[in-house]
Amino acid sequence: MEHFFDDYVNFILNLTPERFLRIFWFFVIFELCRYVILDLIVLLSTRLTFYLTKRKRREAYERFMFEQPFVSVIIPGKNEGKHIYKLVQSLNAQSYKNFETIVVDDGSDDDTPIIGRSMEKAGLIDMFLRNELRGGKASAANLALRFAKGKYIVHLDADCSFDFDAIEQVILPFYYNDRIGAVGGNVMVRNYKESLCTTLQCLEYYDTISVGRLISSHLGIYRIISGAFGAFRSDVMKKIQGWDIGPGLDGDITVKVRKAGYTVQFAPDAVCLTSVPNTFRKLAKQRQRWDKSLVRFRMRKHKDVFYPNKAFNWSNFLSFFENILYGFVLNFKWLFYLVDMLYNHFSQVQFIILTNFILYVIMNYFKFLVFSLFRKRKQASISYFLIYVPCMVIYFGYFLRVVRMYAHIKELIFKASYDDPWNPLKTSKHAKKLGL
Amino acid sequence: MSTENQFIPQENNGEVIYKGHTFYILYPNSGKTIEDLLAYSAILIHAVHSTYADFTIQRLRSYKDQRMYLKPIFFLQPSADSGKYINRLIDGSVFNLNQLESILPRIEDILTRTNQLKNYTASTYEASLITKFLTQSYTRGRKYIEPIPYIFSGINYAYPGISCNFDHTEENKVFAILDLAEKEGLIQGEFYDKTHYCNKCNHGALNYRSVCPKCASSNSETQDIIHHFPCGNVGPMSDFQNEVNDHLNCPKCNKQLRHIGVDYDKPSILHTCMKCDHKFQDFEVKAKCLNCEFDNELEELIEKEIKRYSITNKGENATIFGYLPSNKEMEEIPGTVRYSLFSSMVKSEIERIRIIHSHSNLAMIYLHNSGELVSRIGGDRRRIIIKEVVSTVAQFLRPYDIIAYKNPSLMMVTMYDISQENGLLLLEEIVELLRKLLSNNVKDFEVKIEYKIQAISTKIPYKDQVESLIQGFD
Repeated sequence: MEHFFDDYVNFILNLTPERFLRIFWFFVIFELCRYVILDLIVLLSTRLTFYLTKRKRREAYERFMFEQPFVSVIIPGKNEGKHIYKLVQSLNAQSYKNFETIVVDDGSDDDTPIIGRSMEKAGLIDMFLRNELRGGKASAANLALRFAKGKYIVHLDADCSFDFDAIEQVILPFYYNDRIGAVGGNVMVRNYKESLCTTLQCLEYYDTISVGRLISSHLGIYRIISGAFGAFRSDVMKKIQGWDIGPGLDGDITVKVRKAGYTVQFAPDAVCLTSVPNTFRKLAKQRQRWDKSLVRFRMRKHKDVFYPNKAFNWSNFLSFFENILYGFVLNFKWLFYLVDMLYNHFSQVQFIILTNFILYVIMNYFKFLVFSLFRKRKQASISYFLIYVPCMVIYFGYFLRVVRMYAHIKELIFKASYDDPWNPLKTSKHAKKLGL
Repeated sequence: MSTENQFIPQENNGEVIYKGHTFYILYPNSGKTIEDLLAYSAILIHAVHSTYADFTIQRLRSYKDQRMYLKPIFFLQPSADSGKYINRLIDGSVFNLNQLESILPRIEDILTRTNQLKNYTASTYEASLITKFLTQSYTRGRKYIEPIPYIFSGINYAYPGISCNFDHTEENKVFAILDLAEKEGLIQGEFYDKTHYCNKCNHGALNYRSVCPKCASSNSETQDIIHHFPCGNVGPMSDFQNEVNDHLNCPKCNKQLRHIGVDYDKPSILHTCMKCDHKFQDFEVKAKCLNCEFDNELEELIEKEIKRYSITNKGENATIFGYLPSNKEMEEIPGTVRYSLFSSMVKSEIERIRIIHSHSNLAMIYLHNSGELVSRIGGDRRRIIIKEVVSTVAQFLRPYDIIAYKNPSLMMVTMYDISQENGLLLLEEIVELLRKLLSNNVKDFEVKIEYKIQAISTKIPYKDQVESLIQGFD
């Protein structure tokens, strides 16, 4: 052990800048530059923009409050009855009141119909629709959309709860400019104290949603409006004819909005709390479903984004390019890096892994502490998460990467998303046949 | 036996005499009063017109005189089956007078059983009704009082012998009578069914309607919801119908819907209210009362258990020997004493006037139509009126005079230290005031009161004096 330590110190002391770059090129180019330096620059830019647009935002708020548009809150889901009452309580506490609530039960086999009907009768929700035959989340959302009367559609997941001004905050960006077709809410983890798995996901959500989407939105490449909390212009939804078959329909609808010529905005102040999987097994299952949709939707269904045709749009192109590069290509590139290290630096591989770990830990601490300054809403004290930050290296760098790679391979070779029981086979087989 | 040898009963102005029995054939507009019919052994209702026949049998069975409501009554030439309830009220049917022979055993059986009953007068309105259905059951050899579903009943079920005593608006009072009889141990109830009544008027004729949950209109249109699998589009059938032909086309992807279950399905239905345009999937069910038109929420309906009753041994005894209500209610009226105590105090008074050579009297006030009074005002108000009656009477008496109720119709009072003549004057004043009190409290109620005063004698036993006072009224 002592010998290892001496060797490691020698390894560090012998690291010239060129050698450092040669060995840790992956970290420097794809992690440090993209996720720290670029993100920091953009975050500073968002802060600057925030101050510069203060008047514009105030005027937008005044227009919004003057108009008081009617909003349809739609909640599609299966076996979500147990969550509906709490959700409705959360909605009743909203500062914005001019909305209707439509709950769609997609063929639940629990007490959801009884709960939904009784809540409709008690006037707690405006409309409860039930499909006796399960059709998938897209069909449930489309049914709600068909009967929604609002100027804006807010799509929620039933197991979420919301800050008192969440609806107000998610609708407000529509008044910034006419080209905004959809707005995504800021999804945070409610059960972050439940297990290590949920704590790590909370840190991940801070990074990829609260900060990551702020950045991508500012850059105009925001690509996923979370199904848990998103708002859409009703006329845009009619134009793009609602949701298509999932899984991954939240990313798909965002792309459809973008392809229809509208921009998509992230609303960091529109906060929604959701419960995340509390075990790594459940998490792996969820992430596989999400990760498969990258291949299915970005690389297959919407591959025309890359075609230089009449409908070509640079922001869509960049959005897809960034997503595919970091979500798909670099995932495999990481393997390439591993092979590179094993082949060229085999004798020092243990030192490289350790250094990589330390670099990532330092980077994660830096990001967590510095980026926290840009997060407006904090659930718990920063100190609570400090001891978990090093775990993010394993979680993000290994666990999620392996899950993602596995999902991508399954989808690329077997088109596994079409067999996912999350969506009924009767619709998936048509989607598979039509390449949707 | 040849037809020529048979004796064919002949009708003479509606009367038929056959084998020692007299029958009267009751035609519409026969001009006879019910009292006129009491003398006949049996009545034959000419039942060609069922409405007339049904009405008549109910009227005869609801008549107050036991000689009528227990009388053997038959339908003659019934044109149609009148239903189970009416059939239970009659004792049978004949199609012509030649068939009288066949009903003779039935008539004789009923008359024999009727003769077994001891003569007594029911002391209260409730007691008279209980006596009525008990005796009707006994004389017909029935051990049970069964509810019969009856379309013309305000409570959906009719109890033969009881229901016919009430009109539709008051028919639920049947339950009070039956509950009382059960409480007294005369009958034993067992579950038969449950039924529901209007929360506003207690009527049982309810129209259960599927209505819009928002505006309660029953005018709505129903459409299938269609889910097109390939594109996930969902909407009502009308979204998929085109104006050219009967085909269904998806408005989202323009594909024709070809095969249900393969490329589309109908996962649910949707109702649209034609009045308020509300869209909903589950109707609300409301019960509209056909009597008062009140639209009841189902959970607000009055639920009532319908029972089938068997007559207990106590009930059989009460049928034959007479039913005396326990009168607990009457014993609890403030300002009165129990009847037993009243008698004892008469005994003491006899001793007192024997010593001091004074004059005291016993008086009674009898309300003939207390039954009608009860049916008009109901149980709760009756108690209030009785209290008022007691306080009215008490203000004419000395503080040491006593008042007792033998039953709700019969009040007894003492009038100590006063001559019989003055007592009578006082009694007349009391009765006059009671008439006014009751007339004022019950609209269109004809007060029929009898009263009597009797000087207390030191030579006659107290019991005999009390009994002679109320003789004919108890």
